[in-house]
Amino acid sequence: MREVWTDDELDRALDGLYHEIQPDHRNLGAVRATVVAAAEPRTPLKLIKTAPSQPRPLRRLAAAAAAILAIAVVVQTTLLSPSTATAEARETLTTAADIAARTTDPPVANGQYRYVTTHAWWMKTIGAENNSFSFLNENLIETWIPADPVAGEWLQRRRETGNRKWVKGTEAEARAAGAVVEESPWPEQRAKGGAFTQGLPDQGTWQFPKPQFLAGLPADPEQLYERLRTDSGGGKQVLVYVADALRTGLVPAHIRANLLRALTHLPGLDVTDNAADLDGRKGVALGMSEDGERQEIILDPTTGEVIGERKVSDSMFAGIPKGTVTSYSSVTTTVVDTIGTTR
Amino acid sequence: MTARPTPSPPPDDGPTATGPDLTGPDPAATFGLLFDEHAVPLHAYLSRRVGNQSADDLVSETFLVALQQRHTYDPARAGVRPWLFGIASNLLRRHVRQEVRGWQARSRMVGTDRSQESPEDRTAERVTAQQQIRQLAGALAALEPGDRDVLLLTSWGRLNATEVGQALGIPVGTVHSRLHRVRRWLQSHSAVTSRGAEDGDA
Repeated sequence: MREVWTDDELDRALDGLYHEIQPDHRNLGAVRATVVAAAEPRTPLKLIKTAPSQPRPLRRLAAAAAAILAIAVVVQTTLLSPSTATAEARETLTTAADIAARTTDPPVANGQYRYVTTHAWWMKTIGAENNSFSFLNENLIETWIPADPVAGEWLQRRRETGNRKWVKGTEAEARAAGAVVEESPWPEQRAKGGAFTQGLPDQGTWQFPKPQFLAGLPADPEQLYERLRTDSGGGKQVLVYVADALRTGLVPAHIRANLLRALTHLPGLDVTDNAADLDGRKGVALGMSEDGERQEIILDPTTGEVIGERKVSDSMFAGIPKGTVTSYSSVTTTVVDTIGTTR
Repeated sequence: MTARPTPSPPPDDGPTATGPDLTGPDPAATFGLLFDEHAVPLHAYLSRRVGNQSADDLVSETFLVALQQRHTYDPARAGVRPWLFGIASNLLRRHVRQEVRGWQARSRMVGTDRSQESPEDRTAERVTAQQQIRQLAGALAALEPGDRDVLLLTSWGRLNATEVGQALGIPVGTVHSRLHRVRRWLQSHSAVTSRGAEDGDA
């Protein structure tokens, strides 16, 4: 191991630590009530304005605050924070789930493969001496999943397509500054049971939902939401985890429908774009914002299919303006006869 | 391969924000608005440093102190965001030991990975990333509180150098030199710490 980290390694570790600790803002409604109550004048009926009062001891305030807090916690859960997705989001999800539940996945016969193609535009930031450049970088990920996903051999190919959409700086500027734009090619990977990475839990995860993992999920949508909340840490991460699972192409239609129903219980989830366009595939975006970024999944309302996902910056950060699409990807799944081919 | 922008510090030369007037006749309304605008990022920052429960208390205390001291706030001198982060940083000092213990514990722990990167990154780079995060947590525990404030207000609080200076009441030049020093220190000591920690773990 090297003795010294690069700037990038330090930033990545800081970022990793930042994202690992999930803030829980649920009590903030109560805290707000405390603060506003403390700011209320103590004698509201007095008509004559007096000079600003002397600062009151914090301890007495805190005691008063605690009393208000006890009440406010109850109020908050019923009034201040929504307990489900918005009405429009719920309707969109339920309609799509109904259609998805009636869908039959094309069967994969023995010797055939489920072929999953992901076109992912991920934000890539490259640094030169005193400057950084950012672009959406198209990655093509192709996965061949055998009829028996547990015992059979999988194949995965991943490459940069060379398609780039510059967000900060231009390609010419980046190259002139000495930044490396291309990454080294990814080796083709083959692995039994899709175990491309060592050390994954045997039963699977949301990011790699094996049949055993899927069989263990609750059938009741509200319980499924609770499970998602616990596993992901809640909030926007629930949506990220659902998108992760759906993107694999491993989730059967009835569970896809259930996941959409589970999302109706996600507070703050809303329809954010009625005509989201993922390189020509159009759908309805459902999203929620947290920590300066909006996560969205894109549904095709006519098929109930999740066709992709998108992330949109919700605050100005690191030179990337608010409203910038910071990543998006679309997924298609077909059945093919031969591993490594597209038909 | 990173799937999201690297969190480099925001540029330093942003204009000094002119803050709101907090001394108006309706403090309840003023502070309601102030809370709506700043409580979530402040709480996110504090949660990451001392956990959610302490963060709830600290946000509450920060705004109560701000309310008490609203007549001392000069909108022309500092933005309201650095002012609030500054109050919170002061209050946070009472939790230094708790925070240090947290980082030390984290440096010995193998946690669940919830990075926002692509699932490929979540799996392929998980082991390395987890290791690096552990190393960093260990090194954070060893920092001087003032250095930790400068680093984390910049990296996690997303304050620029001017705002960090306003928050901590130190000149902007000092912010730059401290940040430079602490980053160099972490870059060399995170790796060294890790070697020791790994030997210990194995």
